[in-house]
Amino acid sequence: MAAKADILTLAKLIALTTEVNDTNLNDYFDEAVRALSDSQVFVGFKVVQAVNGTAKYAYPTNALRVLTVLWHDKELTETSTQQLDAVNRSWRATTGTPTCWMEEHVDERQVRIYPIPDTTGDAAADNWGATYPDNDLVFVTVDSATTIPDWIDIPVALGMLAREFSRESKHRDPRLAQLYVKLGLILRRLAGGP
Amino acid sequence: MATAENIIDEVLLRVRDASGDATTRAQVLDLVDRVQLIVVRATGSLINDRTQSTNVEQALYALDSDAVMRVVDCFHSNRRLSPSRWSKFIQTQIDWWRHQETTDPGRFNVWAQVGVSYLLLWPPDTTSKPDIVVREQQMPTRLAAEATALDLPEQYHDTVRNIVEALVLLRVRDLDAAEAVIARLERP
Repeated sequence: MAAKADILTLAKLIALTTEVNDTNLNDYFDEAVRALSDSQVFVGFKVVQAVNGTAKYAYPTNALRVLTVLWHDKELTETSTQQLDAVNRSWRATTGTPTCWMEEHVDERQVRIYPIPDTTGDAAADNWGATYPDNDLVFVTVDSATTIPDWIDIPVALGMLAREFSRESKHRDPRLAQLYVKLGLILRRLAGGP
Repeated sequence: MATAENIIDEVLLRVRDASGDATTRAQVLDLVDRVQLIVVRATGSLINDRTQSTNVEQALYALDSDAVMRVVDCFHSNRRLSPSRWSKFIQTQIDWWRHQETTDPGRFNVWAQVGVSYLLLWPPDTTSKPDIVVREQQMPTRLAAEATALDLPEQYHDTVRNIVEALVLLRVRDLDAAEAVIARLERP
């Protein structure tokens, strides 16, 4: 996997100029990684201990977005406050075996489980299979990353340079930027990546 | 077998910088090394079979994303498992996480690559844990020195040369020549 510093060095090698703005390249890299994350290149699985009487659980570290939540051995159904209001006016206090999850809108980066678990899980440990702890939650997430797959480093660097040479600056060069885009697309297609 | 040195020589000759004044040989080597990865992926070469031991009740297995580019196929006792897109698979199988097969124990049917780091094998069962042959596309040997041979069949070396040539031409701002090489790459 290629780290951010390596990609910035590569971008400067291809650009052959010291005029490119480091701060911009940094931002472009972060945006490129977010785009890769949206394509589910970086998917994470994290066991979170379910606690008796606790409805809200924080996102795991590095998680950008929760794709789904599992409890014990079943995937929970994503729901909303409107849907729960329609079926159970006192859903906020209902306890039992979890069946649904939803994004918590009051506290950011939290997930609410419905019904509120009425048991505490065995332990929070990332064990899969038979040693997977019983009655716990598993968060399946799209994660942020500081590295990208090696085979996509040149297309990412070209994308960053295309943006740098498109913006208003002393080194603006729309034709060069367009050629970066063109070559980047060819290489992405060849690599079969996102 | 062509080495990185041969490719560097030809690229520098094509861009009329045979002595590597504008772009050093080390810089071209760096580009050849990175481009090789893309062309290996495109050609589907460097395929290797690896035995993955499995565990009861376990569907998810870690991949070594530094050594493996992607999973191509999976086999259980010479029977090919069905490939699936993970995001679609989990929409159709609510019990994808720990489904316990009882009618046909130990028979994995489906595989899916999950991002760059995981392989899903489904369905696992409660007692048997058969070995699965995972057919993977491996990362090529990185080109640390000019004497290193490319991990690619000869017929693909020209694609590597063309891509590196385009990058070097963009680098030295010979945009007309770069555009011509990129147009050549666009042709099927």
